[in-house]
Amino acid sequence: MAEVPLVVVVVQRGGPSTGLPTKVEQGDLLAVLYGAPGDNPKIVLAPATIEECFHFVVLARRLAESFRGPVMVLTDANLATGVSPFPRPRPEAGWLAPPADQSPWPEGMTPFDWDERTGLSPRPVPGQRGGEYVLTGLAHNRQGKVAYDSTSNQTGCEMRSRKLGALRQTLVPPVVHGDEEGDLLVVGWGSTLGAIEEAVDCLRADGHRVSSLHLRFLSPLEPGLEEIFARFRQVMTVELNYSDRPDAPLVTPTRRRYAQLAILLRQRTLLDVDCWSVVSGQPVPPGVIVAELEKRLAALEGAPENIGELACSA
Amino acid sequence: MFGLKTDWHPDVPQRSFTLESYEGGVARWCPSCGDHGILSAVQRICRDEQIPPEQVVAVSGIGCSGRFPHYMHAYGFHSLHGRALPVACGIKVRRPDLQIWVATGDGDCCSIGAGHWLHAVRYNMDMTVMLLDNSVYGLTKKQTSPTTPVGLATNTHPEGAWLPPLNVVETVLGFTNISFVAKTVDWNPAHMYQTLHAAYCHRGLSFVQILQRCPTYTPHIFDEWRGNPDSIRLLVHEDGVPADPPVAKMYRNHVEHDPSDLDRARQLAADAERIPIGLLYRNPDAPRYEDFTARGLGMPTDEKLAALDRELDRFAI
Repeated sequence: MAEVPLVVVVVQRGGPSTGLPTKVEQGDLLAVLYGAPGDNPKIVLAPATIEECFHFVVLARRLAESFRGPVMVLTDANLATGVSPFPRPRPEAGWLAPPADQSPWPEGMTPFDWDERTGLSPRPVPGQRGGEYVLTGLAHNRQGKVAYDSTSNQTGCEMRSRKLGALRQTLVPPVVHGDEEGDLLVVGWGSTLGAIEEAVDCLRADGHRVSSLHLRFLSPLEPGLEEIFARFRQVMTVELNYSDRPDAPLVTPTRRRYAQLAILLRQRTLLDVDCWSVVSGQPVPPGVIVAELEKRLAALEGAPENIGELACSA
Repeated sequence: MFGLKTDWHPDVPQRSFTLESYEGGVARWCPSCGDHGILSAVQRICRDEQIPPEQVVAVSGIGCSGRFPHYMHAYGFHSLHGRALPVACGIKVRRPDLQIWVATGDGDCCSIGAGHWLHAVRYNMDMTVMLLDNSVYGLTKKQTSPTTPVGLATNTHPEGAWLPPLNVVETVLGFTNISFVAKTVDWNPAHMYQTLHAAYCHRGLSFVQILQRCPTYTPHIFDEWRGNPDSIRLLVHEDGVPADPPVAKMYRNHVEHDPSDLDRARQLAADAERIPIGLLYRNPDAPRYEDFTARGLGMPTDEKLAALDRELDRFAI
C-alpha cells in the first residue's frame, strides 16, 4: 500500500506455531504470499543454494527499488546455517544502492504517478523539494490522499497488481534438469535442489524418464510452466511442508490438502500437479526421494500419455 | 564600486517560509479538539525555525493522533497501530538530516506500541515525540485506554474504568538512556509552544506528554486542573522550559527544578494530583543510536567496494 522498497529475508523453520525452531521447513510460502489483509502483491524469490543467497539479496534490493515494493527472499534453516564453497564474488558498483535522489521533484507529478501499463511510478524521497506527500496504510489516490471511494481503491489494487505482471514479462522460462520431456517431472524450490537433482540423476542412470525443475521466482511465477509440464505424463512437487498423503483416511484426490508450491502450480496451470512432502524437520536425503519417485513411476504404468489428458479426464 | 558590475547580485537562493508553507489541508478533527492547537504549535515552530518543508517528516500510528501527518505540508508516514516510533527510528537510522516529528496517542504509544516506546526512548534518536494524551480511544469512539481515569465510563467499562491510569511521565522516567522528558497541556498554547520548541531544539529523543482535551468523549476530565491552575506545578529553571510572563502569572505554583536531577524528577512525576508541567528531565549527553547507524553514510563507491572486498577476503580460500 505504501509502495516503499523493502527486502525481507524469511528464514523458514519448522512450524506450525513455535514448532521446530531450529529445524528446516518450507512452510511459509503461502503465508508470505497471502498472509495479510486484502490483496498485497509482492515479489517472492527463493534462492536454492548458498551462493544464490548471496547474489539474490542484491537482486532483491534492485527489484524492490525498481518495483517500489516489498521483495521477500525465502530461505530456510538449511541455507541459513549451512556452509558451502562458491566462487569468490567480485564486488561491483551495481551491488550498491544509489545515493538518495535529492533533486527537486518534477512539478505536477503525483507521488503515485502509476503508469497504466505497468503500475510503476517514481517515488519521492524525503528531502526532495516539492515531493512532499504522506505515506498511509489507508486506501489512497494518486496524490497520496486518503480516499475511501470505491474507484480509488480499485485503481490502487489494479496498479499494484500490474507491477507483478510487468516483472513477469521480463522473466525467462526455467531450465529443465534432464530431458525436456518424459514420464515424470519433479518441481522443487529452495534448499532441496541438491537432493532432488541427485535423486533424478540416480533414476535417469537406471533408465527412468525423469526430469526436474527448480523455481527461483515464486511470485510472479516464472513463465512457460504450462508448456514444460505438458511434455510430461505426470508432474509433482517435492517440498518440505505439510500435505495429506494420498492414501490417508478421508483423503480423496479432490479432498486432499496439497503441498504449498503444488497449490500454486495447480491454480496457475489448471493441471493435476501431484506432490510429495514431509515435515520431519530434516533435510530429505536423495534416497528417500528416489524411493518415492519409483512408486510414482510404477503407478504411471498404463496411465494417460501426458498430464494434460489426465487433467481432462479428471 | 569595488569592481562589481551594476547588475551583480548575490546568487543565494532565498527561501522563506510562512505558516502556510506547512499547512496540508483542513484538519478534520472535531471542532475544539486539542489536536488542532498541537498542530498549530508544530507549524509555528517549523516557521520560526525556517525548516524547509521537504526536510520535515511527520510520523504517526493509528488513532486521532494518526491524522497528524495528513495536515502537515511535509513528508509524512501514517503508519500502523503502535508503530509510529519504529518507523521514525527507521527513517532516522539512515537519514539523520531529516527533522522528525512523531505524533502518537495514549492508546497508540502506551498500549499497542508500549514495547516500541521503551526501546525507541532508549535508542534516543533525534526526534520530537508528542504523546497526544486524551485518556481515551477517541477514534474508535470511547474505549478505555491505559491513561483513562478510574471510574470514567467507557464502552469497554460501562460502569467505569477499574484500574488506576498509567502515569506516563513517571513511566518514561524509569526507562534507560532517557534524554528529554517534559509535560504540557493543550489549554495553555504558550506553554505548549515553549515546551515543544525546547523539545525540538534538544538533540536526542524528546518525549513530551501533552494532556489533550477530547471534546467528544473526555471533555471534563481535566476540569480540575483547568479550573484551578494552582493544582498545577510549573517547573521553572534556567535550563528548563522558559515560562512566558503570562504563563508564570497563571500558574503561581512555581517549583524550581533542575532538569538534570532525575530523582527529583521522578518524585515530581509521581504526584498524580498536583501535576508538573515543564521540563522534568534532560541529559544532553545520552548516546544517540543514529550516531552509530549513520556511520559510512556518504562513503564514496570505491571505498565501499574496497571494504566489501576486504570482507570477502576474510572468507576466501
